[in-house]
Amino acid sequence: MTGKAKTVKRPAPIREGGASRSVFVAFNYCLLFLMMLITLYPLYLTVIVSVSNGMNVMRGEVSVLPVNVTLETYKNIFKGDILIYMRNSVLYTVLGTFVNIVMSCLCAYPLTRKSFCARRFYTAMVTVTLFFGGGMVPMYLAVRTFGLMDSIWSLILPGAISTYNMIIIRTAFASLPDSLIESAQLDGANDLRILFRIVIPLSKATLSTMVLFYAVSHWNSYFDAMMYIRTKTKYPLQIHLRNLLVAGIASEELQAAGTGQAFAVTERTMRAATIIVSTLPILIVYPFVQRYFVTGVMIGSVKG
Amino acid sequence: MKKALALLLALVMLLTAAAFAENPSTWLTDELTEITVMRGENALQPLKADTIKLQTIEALLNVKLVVEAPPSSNYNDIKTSRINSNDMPDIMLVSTSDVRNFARKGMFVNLSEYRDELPNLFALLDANPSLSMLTVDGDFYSAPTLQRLNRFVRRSGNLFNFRTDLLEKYGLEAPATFDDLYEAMLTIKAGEPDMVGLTCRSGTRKFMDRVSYPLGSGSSMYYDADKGEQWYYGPAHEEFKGVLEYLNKLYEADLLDHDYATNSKDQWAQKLSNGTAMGTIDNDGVVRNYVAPLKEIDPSYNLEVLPVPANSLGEKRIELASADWTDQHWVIATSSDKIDLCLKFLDWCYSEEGAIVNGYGKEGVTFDFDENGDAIVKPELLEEYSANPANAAYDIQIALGVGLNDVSPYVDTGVQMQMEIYLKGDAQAQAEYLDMVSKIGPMEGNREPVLAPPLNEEQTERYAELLLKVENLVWQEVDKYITGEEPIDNWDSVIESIKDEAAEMEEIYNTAWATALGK
Repeated sequence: MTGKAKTVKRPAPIREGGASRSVFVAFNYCLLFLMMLITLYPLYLTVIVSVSNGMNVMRGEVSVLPVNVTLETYKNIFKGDILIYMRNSVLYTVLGTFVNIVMSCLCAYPLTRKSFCARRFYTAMVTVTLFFGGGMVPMYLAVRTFGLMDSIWSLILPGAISTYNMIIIRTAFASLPDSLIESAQLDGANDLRILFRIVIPLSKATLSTMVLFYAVSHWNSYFDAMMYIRTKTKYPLQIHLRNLLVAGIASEELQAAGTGQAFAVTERTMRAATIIVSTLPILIVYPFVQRYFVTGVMIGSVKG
Repeated sequence: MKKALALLLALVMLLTAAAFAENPSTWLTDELTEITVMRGENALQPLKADTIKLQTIEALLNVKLVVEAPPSSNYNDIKTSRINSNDMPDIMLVSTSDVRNFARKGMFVNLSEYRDELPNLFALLDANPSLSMLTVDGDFYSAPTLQRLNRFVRRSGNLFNFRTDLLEKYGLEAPATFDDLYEAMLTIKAGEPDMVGLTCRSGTRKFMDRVSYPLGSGSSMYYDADKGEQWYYGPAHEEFKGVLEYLNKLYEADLLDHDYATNSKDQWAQKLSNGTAMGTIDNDGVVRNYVAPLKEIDPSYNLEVLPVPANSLGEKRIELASADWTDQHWVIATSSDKIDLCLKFLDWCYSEEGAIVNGYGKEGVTFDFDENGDAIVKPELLEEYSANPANAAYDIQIALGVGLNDVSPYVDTGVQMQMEIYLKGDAQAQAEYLDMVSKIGPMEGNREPVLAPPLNEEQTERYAELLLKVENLVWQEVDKYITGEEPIDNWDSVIESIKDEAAEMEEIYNTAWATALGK
């Protein structure tokens, strides 16, 4: 938001502004501030709901400031094995992203080399997977047949390459001048050396974006783990949170557990706290990679 | 002589040894055997591997239950994949639609073929003829989750909840008819102009599902015991006009929440818990959660279940939720290599002993029988697990490994209910709670729900086709009549446009109904 505000201010020295100009700037600030409020309010509301007493939230008394602040909801979430699940999630995210990036680069690079005779054929084959998938049951059978059931690899290997991301990387690689690679070849570099010493370092912006894409998808994913992981201590965080949430709602409806008692934790505060716990790590990481993020996506798309 | 004596001695020793080696009569199998069972796990009640219940089952039956419990939030996908890839555990929990989809494909053991080996199960199934609606082509492929009734059983349903303190304040009687309700709400509204009358949640369709039946019709296909004991497609009949007319009357007088079509669950909860709404027809258990925040505002406020008022046809009727869990079925996989043992085990679960072990654990350790023969949980256990009241009913069931959320095909909810009662504190509060709860089930006008008849493949397809067509026509019109945009008499044109399809749907249902009942 502040970035946009600055661009409005910048032309001021060129066009000497009178009163109308100040009004315009003030109006702009107000408008942008309002838009910022609209964007941030839902997130803010989620935070204050998560730390308020469930009874007050239920009556609709929480809208500007938290009421009867309590950390009971978070205590409920953080009891049990949550640290194990967090550790698992971090492990799956880090390892998974590493495998993703390595595999995607190894796939993307040959597809940009004009000297690779089957390039068109493989590109077509890869593109097909963008449009057609095997479906849930064949995937399950494949994972089982490869003996990946209940192992961390069942979460990493089947999705080692996201075709979409790989194509972005390929486009970024292809945008490098051929002469650069040819000169490396003249100096005696082989393909692996060219990839790791020239192509990858020059595509840092795109790759950082891909790291973010892959990491976020690993962090948020629960479905694969739900299907393939059977040992509870191997669950990622998202399964646990999702289960808490869904079970909370279902139990209230199905069991009709209403005994008429007052509790500080309700389904609504639970929902809010779960959202905070699951998105906070990504929210923290985002600003640091954001600058790469914008340039990276542009490189991939504009020149593609 | 010595030789004969030695032989005799040897014989005696052999017989004694044989007598001692004989297995307990309760064992289902001579060798300790594992049975794998899969069910969804409720996050509030994680299943443990070595509970007192599992130990009791092992000692009693010589069967070791290995329970696989993926999270219930995505149990559906996991279950479908496992069935489709023929990678099933011996016994698993599935839904009615799974039974209908996969039984015909031969994935589940046909229990009716083993009727003689399942005396306990079939005694219960035969005792309740409406359960025959859960058959596929006339046979049971699944054992539905049934409830063993105990004296603490609490019934619930989409019942009529109303602010009784307001009735008292304005000197009104509990409304005997829906017209009385209209008058009563008018009186209250005159004194409390800011209040909305009846509120609801989750859109017009859900609202109509809840109010149409008490008001004399049904929002979709429904069984009408007052009108020839047949199935009807509600909106295609004259009575539905009466429902719309009444709701329009409420709407015009500002006695029906004007956000009735858009209220989310949170908004609905807010209106009930901050005292804005006068009442709602909804799940009484859920509504009871809003009594505590309401009483925080003013202790005299109260939201209670009242007997349903009589509709314009003079009928008092409202549907209770089923006492059984008819959408939770236990099936045995045909791919299992120990079908016989699974059958024996499943049948044991439906015996009195099975229900008690699955519901309470081990006699003398976790519970005792009182003089009436009711299982009573040990008081020290209730005290131990009541530390966190919000989750106490689950905590005790986690520890014992019992209850609906565990492997309990014949559910006794005694532990949960006894904990709820215990949490109420002193004897008087406990007695009041028990009294309140026990009054809800037998309330005047309460009807037991009727299960939809099982359709064969051809009927299923045709019915779905017809339903899609009429639902599209009906549900884009309903709001116009409630808000008064269209005069009520125009509903005749809607009836006219769907009457052929509705008649065919009714015929499909009534035919299937008669077939299932063996008429």
